[in-house]
Amino acid sequence: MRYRWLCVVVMAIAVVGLLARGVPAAGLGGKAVKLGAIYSITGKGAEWGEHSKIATEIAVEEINRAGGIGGVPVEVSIQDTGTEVGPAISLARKLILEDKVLAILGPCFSSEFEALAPLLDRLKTMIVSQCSAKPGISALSTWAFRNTLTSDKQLDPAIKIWKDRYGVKSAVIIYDSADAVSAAEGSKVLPALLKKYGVEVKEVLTYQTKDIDFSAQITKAKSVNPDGIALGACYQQAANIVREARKQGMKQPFLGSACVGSPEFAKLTGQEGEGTIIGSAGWPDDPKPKTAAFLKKFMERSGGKKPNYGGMRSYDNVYIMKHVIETSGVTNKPGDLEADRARIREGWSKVKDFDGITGLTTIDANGDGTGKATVLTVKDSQLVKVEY
Amino acid sequence: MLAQQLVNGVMLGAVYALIAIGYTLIFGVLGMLHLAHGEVFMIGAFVGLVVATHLSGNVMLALAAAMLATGLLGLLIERVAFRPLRGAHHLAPLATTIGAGIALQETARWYFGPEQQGFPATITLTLWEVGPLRVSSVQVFILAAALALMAAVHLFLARTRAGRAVRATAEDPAVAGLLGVNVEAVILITFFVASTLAGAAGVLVGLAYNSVHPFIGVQMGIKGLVVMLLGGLGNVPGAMLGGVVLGVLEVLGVAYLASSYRDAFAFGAVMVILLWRPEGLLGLRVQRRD
Repeated sequence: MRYRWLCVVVMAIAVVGLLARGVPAAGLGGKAVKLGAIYSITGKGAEWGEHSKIATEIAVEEINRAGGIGGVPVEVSIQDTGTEVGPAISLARKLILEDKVLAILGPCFSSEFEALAPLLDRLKTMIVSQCSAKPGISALSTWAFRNTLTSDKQLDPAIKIWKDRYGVKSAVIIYDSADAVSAAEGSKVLPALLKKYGVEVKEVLTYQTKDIDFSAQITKAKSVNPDGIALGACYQQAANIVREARKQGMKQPFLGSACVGSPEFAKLTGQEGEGTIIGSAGWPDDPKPKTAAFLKKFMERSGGKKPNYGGMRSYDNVYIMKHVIETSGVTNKPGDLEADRARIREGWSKVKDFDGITGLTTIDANGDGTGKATVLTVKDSQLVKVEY
Repeated sequence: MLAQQLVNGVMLGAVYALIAIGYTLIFGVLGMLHLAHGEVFMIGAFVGLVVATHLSGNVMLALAAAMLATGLLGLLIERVAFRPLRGAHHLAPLATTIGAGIALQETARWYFGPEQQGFPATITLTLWEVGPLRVSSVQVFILAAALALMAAVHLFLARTRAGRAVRATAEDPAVAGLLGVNVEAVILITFFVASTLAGAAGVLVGLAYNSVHPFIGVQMGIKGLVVMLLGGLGNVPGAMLGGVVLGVLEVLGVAYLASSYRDAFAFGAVMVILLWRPEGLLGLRVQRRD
């Protein structure tokens, strides 16, 4: 009996100790801080979702080991959208209406994001995407945030480097007309930026996500003999397009953005993709200690694969969420759910210079991330940062 | 450019033809649609990939292993999804084969992961320039393998006893049975041969296009079905011709029209051909009433 009391006292001291550590205000109410996540763990965006899931789990474990958020453990309910718009919306509704989460992490894909964002004014819960890059769509709702750079910001420095390094004066654009961000890049972002840097667009070709044969597009691209090929594509198809081009004897350099920026692209293309310039929003091999520590943990869980920038930004998003919840007066009491959700939204809109593994994050007036884009290139089957 | 585009189309078409021959054999013999055939193709691609990556870089060995594995898989599907329904409504196997297809997709996703994978780059690529054309060693291998397999199937059906039994069963299973053909054995042979072709096509697609993933069979299955219809139901040379026609149509659609509409254009053209010749390109103008 006495022993049991001793235990209680020790536990109480431990809890108070944990609460006192690093928590500015009083501890939160409730048993857990409930967050939701909608990630594309299967379907065409599987790699992006898988990396986000692993990164989120790492962040959640770290946070809970260090005392949780405001002294309360954090729980993230991770759901799989299958990279489809319908499930993304229904899962978000379920998390908000039934599971009563405070906020939602994800979705990654712009197609999912732009369908979900307009509904948020009614659902009154914020979402924060880790990889969606189609310009303009965070403005669809004040509840829609993206802690990443839109593809125009990712591509601008990349195109300059590509043009200068390879002397590109003319280009062919090949893009996926069935993917939201790729289509935006191919039809709007790339033509505008190439024009800005004085690169003539000789031909614009399209394909659809499910295509596997790109021989006809490459034959056509080859016939106009451009200095380079700019892609609005995701890494799987981008890799096949690069390989097909080499097979048909094209030696021109490639340019890609957001969705190409996966370490898998470098692995799939190898020597054939050497020198490809990619605008991105994160570099997994960044020697910064925080990033290196994350990379080590990530690779232990991913079977040795390096994270894409979506995975890296998911990790940052969980920590920004912790920071926002702890500093914006969230109580986490069931009766305050609506007010707490509004406080979190307010807190996210004020995020400034948050130091994460992808660099400093500041959220702009539209709810988009800002900052310097990372330009990567393929070297010996690895993504390597290009300094500029 | 047109010549190169035709080469591209024929390469693609050869793969479609291999899948379509499998469909058409099974349809011809059983009069039933095998909707997991695309997934058999997908499993073939994965088996080839595993052999080429982990056991040996030898393409022929990968091809042989994939064909054997998918042949056995075909027998399994026959046992599970077709045999229990012999004599049931002719639409019943649609449901069971769709189910078998989903089971195979999910198994592959669980085992190999959802990501797209490619054959190792160790399979060397030599390029030959023939005038303005560029042909790679992989393409030549694919075309040669596809043609050799088609020729083998044709000889098997036309010249061997077992082939004759298959044709007799396709004509009329009841009469063939009465005349001493072992119908059960013929059905198994058909499934085995059809599935080995799909497995071979899987490896060839993996080699040519480097995209092997658990859901690739869906797209390829649809293409194979269309080619079967185009060539004429149950008609093997028709499936070969249909494959090449669809491949060339798709490529020309991309080359001279909008490339996002390759399937719309190709399938639209197939519809027009079928309106003109409902029995398919090489189908016989015979109405059979069962």
